Amino acid sequence: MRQETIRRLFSLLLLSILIVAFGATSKLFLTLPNIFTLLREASVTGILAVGVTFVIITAGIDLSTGAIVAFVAMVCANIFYYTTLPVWVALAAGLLIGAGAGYLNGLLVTRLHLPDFIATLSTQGIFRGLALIIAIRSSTGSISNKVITNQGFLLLGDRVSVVYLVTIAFFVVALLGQGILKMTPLGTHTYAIGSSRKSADLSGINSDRVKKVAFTISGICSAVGALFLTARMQTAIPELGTGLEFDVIAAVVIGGCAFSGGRGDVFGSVVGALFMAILTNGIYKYNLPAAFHIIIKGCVIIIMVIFDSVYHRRMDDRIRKAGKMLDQAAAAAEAAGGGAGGIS
Amino acid sequence: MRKSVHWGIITVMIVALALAAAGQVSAQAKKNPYKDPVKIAYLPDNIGDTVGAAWGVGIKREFAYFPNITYQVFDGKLSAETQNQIMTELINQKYDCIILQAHDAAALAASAREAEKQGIPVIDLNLDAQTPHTCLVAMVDYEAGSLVAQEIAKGVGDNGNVVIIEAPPGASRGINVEAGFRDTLKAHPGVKILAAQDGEWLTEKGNTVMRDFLTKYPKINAVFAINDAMAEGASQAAAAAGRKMIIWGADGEKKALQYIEQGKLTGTIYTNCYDEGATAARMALYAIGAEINGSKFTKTPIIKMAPIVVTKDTVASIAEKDRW
Amino acid sequence: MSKTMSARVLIQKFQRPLILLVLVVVLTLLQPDAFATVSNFKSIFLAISIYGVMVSGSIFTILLGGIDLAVGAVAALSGACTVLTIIAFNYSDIGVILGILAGLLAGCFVGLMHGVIISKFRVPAFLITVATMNIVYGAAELLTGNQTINIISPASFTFVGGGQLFGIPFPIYIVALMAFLSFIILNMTVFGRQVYATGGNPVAASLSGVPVFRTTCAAYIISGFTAAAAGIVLASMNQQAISKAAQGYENDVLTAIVVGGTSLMGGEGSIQGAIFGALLVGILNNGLRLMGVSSIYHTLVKGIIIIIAVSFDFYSRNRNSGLLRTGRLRLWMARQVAILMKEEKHQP
Repeated sequence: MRQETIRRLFSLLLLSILIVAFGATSKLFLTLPNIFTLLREASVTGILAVGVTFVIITAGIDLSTGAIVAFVAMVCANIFYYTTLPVWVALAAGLLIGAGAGYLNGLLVTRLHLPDFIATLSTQGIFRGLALIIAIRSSTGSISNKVITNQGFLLLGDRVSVVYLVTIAFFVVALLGQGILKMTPLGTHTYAIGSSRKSADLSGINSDRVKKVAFTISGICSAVGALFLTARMQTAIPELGTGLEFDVIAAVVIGGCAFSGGRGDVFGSVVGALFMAILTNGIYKYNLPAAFHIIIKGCVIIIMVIFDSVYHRRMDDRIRKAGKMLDQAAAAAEAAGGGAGGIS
Repeated sequence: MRKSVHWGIITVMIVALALAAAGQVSAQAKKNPYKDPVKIAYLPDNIGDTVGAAWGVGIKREFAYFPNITYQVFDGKLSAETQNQIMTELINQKYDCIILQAHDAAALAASAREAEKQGIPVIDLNLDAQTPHTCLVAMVDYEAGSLVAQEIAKGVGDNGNVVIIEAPPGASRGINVEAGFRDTLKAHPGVKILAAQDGEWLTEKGNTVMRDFLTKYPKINAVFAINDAMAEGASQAAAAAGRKMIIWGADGEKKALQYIEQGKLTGTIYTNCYDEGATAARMALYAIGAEINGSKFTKTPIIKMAPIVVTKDTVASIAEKDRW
Repeated sequence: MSKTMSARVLIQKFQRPLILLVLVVVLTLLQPDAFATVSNFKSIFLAISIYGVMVSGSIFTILLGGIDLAVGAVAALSGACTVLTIIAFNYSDIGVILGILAGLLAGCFVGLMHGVIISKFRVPAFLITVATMNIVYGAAELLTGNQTINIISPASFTFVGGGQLFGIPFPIYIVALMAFLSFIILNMTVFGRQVYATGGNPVAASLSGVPVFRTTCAAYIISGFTAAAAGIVLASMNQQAISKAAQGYENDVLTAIVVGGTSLMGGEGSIQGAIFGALLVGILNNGLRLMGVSSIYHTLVKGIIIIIAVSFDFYSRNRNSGLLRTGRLRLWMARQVAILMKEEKHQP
């Protein structure tokens, strides 16, 4: 997998270049509070990216992550506003709902045979709608978001000395995700399905089950992200996480995963999430007009995607050429060997 | 093996960054805002919104005279999450004051509280964050809603149907204006509120929402949109459907005044937004130099801007230089 | 026996208009006074007109197996271009013509960029158009200086979005025209054939001599063109150009196209289907509103409709393989490829 290593080192190189560039040209960038703010910004996207990595490696896509975040956040807000149930109930409910939502995605894709894009597009609408429906309302019927005052829950948005809890959670989730992906049969099967669905099926892998698990993992990660995001904002609003799915997918793809599946890993997505966060954070230091932020972000994504495609095509060509050379060498050897000896 | 090397690299990078950074926390001493270099940030909900832009002009004009002031404008992009990110950025960059228009009262509460705790006064414009802080400069909201209700009741002769195009949820101004409107209408039982729906402060959505209302209700006598942009959208929708009705907005932007002159809009509640922005700017300079601590307040003090009720009869009284 | 067979074939053939008819009948019965009126139907068509225009062009990109998510951004940019040009020419009618041209050109240019990048580098259209969405919205912000630019005159411009011709709002004529043009291009030109072929099987298509690069570019240019047209109508309707216009329209466009039976893999679908999809969602939303269902349920309903529509199409398609026109085309293409492959093998 040498080309994977090169690709990974390249992302790390880009990351370093970015850090050095920002650090050298702006004295506000390399300050302690900024670094940990930066990590905090990367964390929620990063946690979601871990889950989405699984889905994308299976050659799928998940567009519903932002909406699941909103729905889980709304459920927590409702629990804290209307009841005095302990914090762990809200956390458990959130995680269960995230898992359920992910499982629903999996069902739609495997049972109803809907393409991933369409299934998650529709669940995006469903969960966003549900978040709106259960939003806390005032007596006149208009939405009135309430501040969450449950101190136990708000601890999630806090830090341990300088490091934010969400950053710690990010790395824990990332390690877990990478572990599952690289060290369990489930992970191997995930790659197998992404590389070639047919071969995987023929090998006896239960592709449907793996797909469902991938989506469930994505849903759980969305729920975890939602809990931290809500704790940080100290409230839940129905529009939470709008557009988040695109940032997450961009991070995953920049980190090395391909939509065609079978490539990339959680580590790459972590780098991707950090990359996006550093880019966003760094741009703020120069006091450019707001328009430049999104223009630069868009350009960077395009450049990364083009580079990725060109690099992988060149690698594939090289492999194909190497394969052809091997074939010719084998044929030549066989001709020489067949001439000298008998059948072997 | 390779895997752990990569994890190692990234951990080393982060530790190196942390070590390379010199963490410093300095106390915010009270500066002289007219002499010492100060950084002031303006963070509206949507910088493209006419009201937000007008405030920006007012603020800029006020600060132009003092060369020690560095003034930076940001865009909240109609998103509470974006505004929170920017607030964290401003707190980290140690701005001296933040002029904020909160997208959602609850969602911006934590950030505003944090800023005040760090000694950064937060001056809100119209849309307040739900936490006690240094100051809120606002157009009259409850009173505006009340004034419009009276005008509409008069216009329909105390008997008719009204629809409301609301502000997005969580916008403190929207809540107060609508409250004033509804409460006053209670005294006019012949005027019925058929429906209310969120128009997102935008002309485009106001147009769409109005179209929905026109579909559902064959008889609408009046519309009240919480801001002029939505009222203009409602007026376009009504005109496209060929239906006549009384349409009221609030804010008093230049386009609304033109629409009133052309008879496309019935009226609006005008506030001089240049003035309002300038007031916020002055409050900012005051707060930077004063020995007040917004984080210790139990209630946010409010400065209210006096309105002018504008209809076809009174629109001429608003001078060109006051049209924003 | 043959009678029931032909009935089923008929239902299969007119599946979509039948669904619409059933829906209309049901809603008329539920809301007799409000639903089945001329003004209500006008309202439905007007509501789908903006993204209907976008659909007419974007369907080319989806038939190709790609996607264009930047339509909202292009609409905002073209609206800004048009309005600024009109103002630069002092609100004159010449300014309106030049402005509309400028806006359409902006859309075509963005489409060309899409086509070149997606085709040359073979990158996923999804991610590229999301990225350009950011860039184009940024460009719109720079162009408008992030201000709301109002445009109340001249009447020739405001007529486009707000005027009525024979009692029907003008945007409805525009969407009808675009859909009609789309139909002609897709079904009666070589280019249309090439689009289906490239989408169905790009390798076979290029082997058969279809100019894939040019076809891709043209498809994305068309998508940009219609998005620009929609943006101009929107700017005229709202009598303003803002950098945040048309946000979220790409979602409606996608929903309409998908519900209309177009496959996201490419090569299968029709403009009639897409317009059907737009109408279905539009009528359902309208019906829900009339019945007093609050608008917060609309997102939920849209999601469920997509699931139902696509699964229904999948199952019915499975039961009647090969009867669809495009299915026949794919069969033909596959046969061509097989012939070509056989010829290759025979070569020494």
